[in-house]
Amino acid sequence: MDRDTLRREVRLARLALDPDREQSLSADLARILAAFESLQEVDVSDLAPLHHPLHASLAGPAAATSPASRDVGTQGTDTSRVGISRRDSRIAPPDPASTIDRSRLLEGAPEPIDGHFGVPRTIEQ
Amino acid sequence: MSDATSNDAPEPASDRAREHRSNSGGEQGPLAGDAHDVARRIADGDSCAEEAVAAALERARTDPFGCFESLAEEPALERARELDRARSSGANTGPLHGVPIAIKSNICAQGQPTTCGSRLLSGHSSIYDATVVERLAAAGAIVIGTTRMDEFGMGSSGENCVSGATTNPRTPHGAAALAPGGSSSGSAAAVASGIVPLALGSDTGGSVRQPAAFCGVFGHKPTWGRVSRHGLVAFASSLDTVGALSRSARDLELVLSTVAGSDGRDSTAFARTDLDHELAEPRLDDGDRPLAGLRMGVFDEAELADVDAHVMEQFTHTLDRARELGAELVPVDLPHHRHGVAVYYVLAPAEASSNLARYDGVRYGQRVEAGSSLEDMMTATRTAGFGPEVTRRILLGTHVLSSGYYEAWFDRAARVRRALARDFETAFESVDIIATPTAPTPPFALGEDVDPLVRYRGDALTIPASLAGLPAVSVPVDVEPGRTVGVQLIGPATADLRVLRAAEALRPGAVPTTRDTGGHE
Repeated sequence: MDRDTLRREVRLARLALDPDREQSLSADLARILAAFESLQEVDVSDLAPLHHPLHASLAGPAAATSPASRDVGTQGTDTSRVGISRRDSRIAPPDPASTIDRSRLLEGAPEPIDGHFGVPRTIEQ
Repeated sequence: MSDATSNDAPEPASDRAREHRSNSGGEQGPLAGDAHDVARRIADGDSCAEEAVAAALERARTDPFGCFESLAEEPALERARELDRARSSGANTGPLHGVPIAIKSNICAQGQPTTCGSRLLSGHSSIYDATVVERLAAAGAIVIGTTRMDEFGMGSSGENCVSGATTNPRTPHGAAALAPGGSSSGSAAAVASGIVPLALGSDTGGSVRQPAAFCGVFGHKPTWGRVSRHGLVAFASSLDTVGALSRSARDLELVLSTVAGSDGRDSTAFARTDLDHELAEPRLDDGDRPLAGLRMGVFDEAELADVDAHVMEQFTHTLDRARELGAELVPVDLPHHRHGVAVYYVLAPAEASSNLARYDGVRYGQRVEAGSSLEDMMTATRTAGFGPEVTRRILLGTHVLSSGYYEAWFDRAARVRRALARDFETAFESVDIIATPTAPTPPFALGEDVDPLVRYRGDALTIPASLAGLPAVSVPVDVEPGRTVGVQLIGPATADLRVLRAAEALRPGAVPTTRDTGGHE
C-alpha cells in the first residue's frame, strides 16, 4: 500500500500516525493484503455476498441463493422458521422503570453541557 | 493446596488416562467442582451464596494471574446476602442461585466498568445490564467483577489490554509465563484458576474457544443469533456472539438454557422453541457408548498440516476416544476452509472500522483536547485511545471498504464467505458434527514479538464456524501445564445442544483447576 493511500485512509478513520508508525503500518498492511491474495483466485461469479449468517446458514440453501425472498418479518419460533429474523420491535410495552434517564446517559460523556453532549465549537461566531 | 492426582492409584501414564482421570482429592469448600456443584451445595444448605461469593472475591483479590479488570465487592456481597435471605424465607431459587461469575469487560453490567481493555474507555461504566447478564442474574448468578481482554476483542494473546496482560494459570512452575489466549483472556484464566466456576466471554473469530483451549477449560460459541448481544460492545456485528467458559460441559448447557432466546432489544436473536423441545426430551442412558450413531466429520490430514505435533497427538487420541464411545468418523472436505483467515481479516476489520467510529470523544470515555476543531479533537482522542492492534485493524477495514478497493476485497470476501457457509451445509448432509483441534499450537509465551499474520493464522481453525454462524465448543483434552490442548466440535446451525452433549461425552465431569493440581502453593 502506498503512503498517499494510507494517509488518506488514516484521515478518513480520524487517526494520526507519526512517520515511524506510518512506515511500519504501511508495511504491515501491504504484507497482510499480499497474504490474502488467494481470495482473488476464487470464482465468485455465482456467489451472492453473505453479510450476516442468519439467513444463509440457518435457512438452508434455498435462502442462500435468494436471501431477500426470505427476509421477511416473523417471530419465527419453530425450527422450520429458524433463520428468519423477526421484525425489529419491542416485545413488551416500554417499562418506565427500564428507560434510561438522560442525566445518567450523560454520566459517561467526557464533557456534558446543560444536558447535552458538549463538543468543541464548530461554527465561527 | 493438595495435588488432585496424588491419591489416585498408579495407572498407565497414557495421555488418555491423564485426561480422564477423576478429580478426586481436589479442593474442598464452597467453590469446589463446577457451577452445578456450587449451586447444589447452596441449595442443600451445606454452603450459602455469601460464603461462595466471599471465597471467590478473596481469590480474585489475591489473584496472581491478573484476570480481573475490576471487582464489584460490595454489590456482589449485598446481592449474595439478599439471595440467602430469599432462600431462607422459602422463595423459589434459580439454577445458578448464589454462583459467583465473572464477565468480560465488553459486556455491560450496571455500575461496572466496561472498558473493553481500551485506554479510550478507561473509567467508563455501564448504566444498564446486558440481556445475558440480566438472565443469568435472574437465575441467581452473582457477578463478582469484569475480566481483562484484548482491546475490543482484537487479539489472541491477552496482551492487547491497557491494564496489563493476563498470565495463563497453566504455566509450568519456573517456566516463562504463557499466554492465556484471547481475547477472552481474563475470563478463561479466572475459570482455570478456580476463582469462579463460570465466566462470560465473547467470540467473534475464536475469542472464547481459543483461550478455553489454552487455559484448559470448556468454551462455547453459540449459533449466531442464539444468544442476544444486547449489551455486548460491538466489534464485528455479523460475527459477534456471547459465549460461556466453564469447568464442565454440563455448565455450558445450563448457561445456554438460561440465556438463549429472542430479545426485543436484539433483532438477530431468534426464539428458543427448538432448544426447549430438545431440553424437554428425555435423555437416554446410553451407558458406555454415549456417542453411538454420531457421525463425526474430520478433515483430511493435509488440511491440518500446520498443526503442532503434540496438539495433533491429543486430537488423534480424542478421535480414538470418540470412536470407542460409539462415534463413526467420516472424512469431510470444506474446499474454501483455507480461505477462512483471509475472509475474516477482511470482513471483521471492515465491520470494526464502522462499529468503532462511535468512539469520537463525544459520547463515551476519554477525550483528548487538541487543535481548535471538532475533527482535531476526535482525531487526537482516537489516536491516543486505541492501541496498535486496534489501529491496524481499523486501517485495514477502512482500506478494504474504500472506493477502488471495495470490490476486490470486501465484496469478494463476503462472497467467499458464502462459499464457505455452503461448504459447511454440504458437509452437514453427511455428518452430525465436525471435529478439529481448537488452536494449531499449545499456548505460546507472553511477550513474543511476532508478525501479526502469525497470530491471525493461529485463528485458522476457529474462524470458519464464526463466518458460517455455527455453534462450536472447545473441549479441554489435555490440561497439563504448558501442554494444554482443546478439541473443537462444530455443529450445524442451531445444534448447540448437540455439540455440548458430545463435549460432555468426550470429557465428562469437571476439569481440575490449578488449585486442584497444586498451582497455588
